[in-house]
Amino acid sequence: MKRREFLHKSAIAGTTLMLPGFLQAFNKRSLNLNQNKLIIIQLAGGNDGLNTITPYRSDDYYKNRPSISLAKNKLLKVNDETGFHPSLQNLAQMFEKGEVSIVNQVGYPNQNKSHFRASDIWLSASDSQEYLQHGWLGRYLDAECQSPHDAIQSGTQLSLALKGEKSLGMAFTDARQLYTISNESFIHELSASTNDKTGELAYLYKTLTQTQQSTEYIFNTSKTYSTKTEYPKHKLAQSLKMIASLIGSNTETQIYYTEMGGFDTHTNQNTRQQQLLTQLDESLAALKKDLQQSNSWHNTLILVFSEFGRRISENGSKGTDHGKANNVWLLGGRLANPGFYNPISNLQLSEDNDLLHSVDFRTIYSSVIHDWLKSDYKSIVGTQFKPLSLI
Amino acid sequence: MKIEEYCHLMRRAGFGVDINSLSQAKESKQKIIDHLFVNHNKSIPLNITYPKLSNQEIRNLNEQEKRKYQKLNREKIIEYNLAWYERMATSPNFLRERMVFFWSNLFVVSSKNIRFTESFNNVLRTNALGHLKDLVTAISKEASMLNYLDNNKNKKQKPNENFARELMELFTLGRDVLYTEGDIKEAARAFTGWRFTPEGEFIEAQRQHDYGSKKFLGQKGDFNGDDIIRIILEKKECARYICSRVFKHFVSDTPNQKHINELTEVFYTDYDIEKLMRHLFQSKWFYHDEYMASKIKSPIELLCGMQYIVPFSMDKPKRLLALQRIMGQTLLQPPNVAGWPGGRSWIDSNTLMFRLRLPSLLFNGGSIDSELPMEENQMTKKRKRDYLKANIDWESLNQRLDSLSKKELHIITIGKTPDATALQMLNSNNKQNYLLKLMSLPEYQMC
Repeated sequence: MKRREFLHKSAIAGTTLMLPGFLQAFNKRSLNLNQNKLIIIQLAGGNDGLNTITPYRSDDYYKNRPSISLAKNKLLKVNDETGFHPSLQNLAQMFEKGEVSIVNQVGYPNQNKSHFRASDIWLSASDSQEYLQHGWLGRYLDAECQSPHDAIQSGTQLSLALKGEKSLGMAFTDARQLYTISNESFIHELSASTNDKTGELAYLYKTLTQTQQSTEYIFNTSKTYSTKTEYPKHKLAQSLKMIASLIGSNTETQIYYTEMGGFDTHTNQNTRQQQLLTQLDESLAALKKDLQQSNSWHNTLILVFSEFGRRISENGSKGTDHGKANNVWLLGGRLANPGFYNPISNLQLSEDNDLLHSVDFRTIYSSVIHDWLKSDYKSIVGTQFKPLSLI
Repeated sequence: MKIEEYCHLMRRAGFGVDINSLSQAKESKQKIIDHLFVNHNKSIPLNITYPKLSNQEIRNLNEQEKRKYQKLNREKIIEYNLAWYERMATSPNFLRERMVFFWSNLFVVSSKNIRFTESFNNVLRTNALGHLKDLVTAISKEASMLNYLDNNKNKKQKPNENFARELMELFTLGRDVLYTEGDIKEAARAFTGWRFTPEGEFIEAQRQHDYGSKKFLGQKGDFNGDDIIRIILEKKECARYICSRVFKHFVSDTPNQKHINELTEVFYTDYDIEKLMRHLFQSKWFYHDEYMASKIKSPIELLCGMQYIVPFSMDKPKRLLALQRIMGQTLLQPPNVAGWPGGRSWIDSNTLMFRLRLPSLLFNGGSIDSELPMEENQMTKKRKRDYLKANIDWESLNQRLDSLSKKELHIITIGKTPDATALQMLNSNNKQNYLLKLMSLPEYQMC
């Protein structure tokens, strides 16, 4: 660059002097006035929706589950046909307060019963015959965001959901550790070295620089808030604690992601599911309290889903096998239509006793993209998946 | 051959450059390639030991025995993963092993049965450089494949289209090339009744097979599965699809239609895989500058390549499995029937950070920047991450390093001479430390 040209350009560039283009784009986000936050919780393994939100007037339910059905008098009844699992006390209270929406019978055509495949379908929002290499939130990042820290996953392996074609979210469990690693002198120097590489190598350097910037940003920002809420010790609670503290410190991150495993209850389901749902319930309660303290409950939406539901009939080991349709929950302080989006009473079963779906999961994604994140669901999820009136 | 070209060939046709073979680079291209196909492609099956139950014995297992048997299978599959990895990283028959690695991500399966897994892997190995028709026919009759794509549920009364669809979409033609939904339905009928025994042997269940007439890709007849494969291979689109996959794996993630067409013309004459690969490695464009060090290594390529430069072992071999998992490529566990997409999909903030730090974690107690040679540092430094510490034959490493000029070291490690900014990062007088820094550059992630 000639000296005069350089001076001219730097006068225009002002404070972003000499920053490569992709870093300047950081500023684009500050123009985005939408302060809404989204937290996704994936219940991995296939949560048994029927023993979570139970249709206690259904004969089919009790007939097919002689030993593992939940007794009417134990359920936390929220209306005259539906009861929550006894472990979900906090959730039931939130439901009464209008802070929960439940969509029943959610699925998609030709549902797949493999954990991996079904997860990929949910995370990428694909058809059952389609193999997409990017996730639905990744495509949102492609459309609206610029840096890895726009979507943060609490975990170690970045979920397909947060991978776009161009942009990627980031995954970590400990912001300080990641900061230390990326600031090791050699790595730090590398990321600061002038970027005159080409092709795929340039992509590696760019990713490195972005990672470095994002970890620095997260580390510095997250220092500003420390929670006063007590969280349980288990993994999900600790993940949500990290997420709540990032939200509480006004991080510009919009999307948070975490998962809880163990829901693949083929044997002795009732004991296991009770433990899991208790943990989930406690964690959600702590999260809500924390977000209220940091004044962010009203602009946070929580989406809870599982890759599939389980069969209505129990198996021979007091458990259930992989099934199809399931319920999806939305939680938050600002839901447009809390309660049940659709009733659960009418269990639609296929010829081989699987629950049939009546709501495509992608219409829920569209609602989130369109009504909460204020973006274009048509290009991100698909034109045919019109938003529901949920949020 | 230029040393850059030789190293490029070794990295793409194998998994890395054997430092002791470097003197061969002086030979002519023709001679080096002949040598490759004569000396480095022996087919030696990869087998591990486990009890081989008979059909009857497997059928008679009670619930408890079945669970034990499943557990055994899980453990043996891990063992097979590690054996396969070791084979790739150390086998003198590296060309054939490279082909097995390539085919395994094209004809993708995953099985929970060690016998099926082993058999499938060896079928790829036997046919890796033979004729495509033999290869496609063989994999289609493997228990792993029949099970993975539900052909064992494909019967006359209720055809299952899964295998027929993927055979065309992912294995031979490419998505929506030439075939219609109708062709998938008809092909599925032709594969009805293809089954396997508990021991994994292929059988045709005649009562399940649809002997009726089928219409497939414009032809009509009472086709069976073999006929379907034959008809697909008659189409040039099949040669083109396989060549585009060969190009992607061996040359570049960015397709070049001219080069792919050239390969297609060669391959379509008789589907001789060895002939195709010879043509590829002999072509001038294979060694173009734009293709040198232009691909992002897959995690397996990264790990195997490190073995070539710094031969290492782990006290607990299962940690190699953990490394595969962390970086997103666990052998025998592909994400889905489409296989690993490769290229940029290997890279996110986490995996990149991990991959850059991997050499230092294995060889240098976790730090990249240190005054001490790796050897001393690894011994003195105690870190939380010690579980990744590798065992290294320092003497042999030092001998290798002493035998190499700086230029040779650069080319063996990152494929070319580092540019000025990268060179600045490499300030160290100590050879081990210099190598470590070289391996910690993003340039080392390329092949």
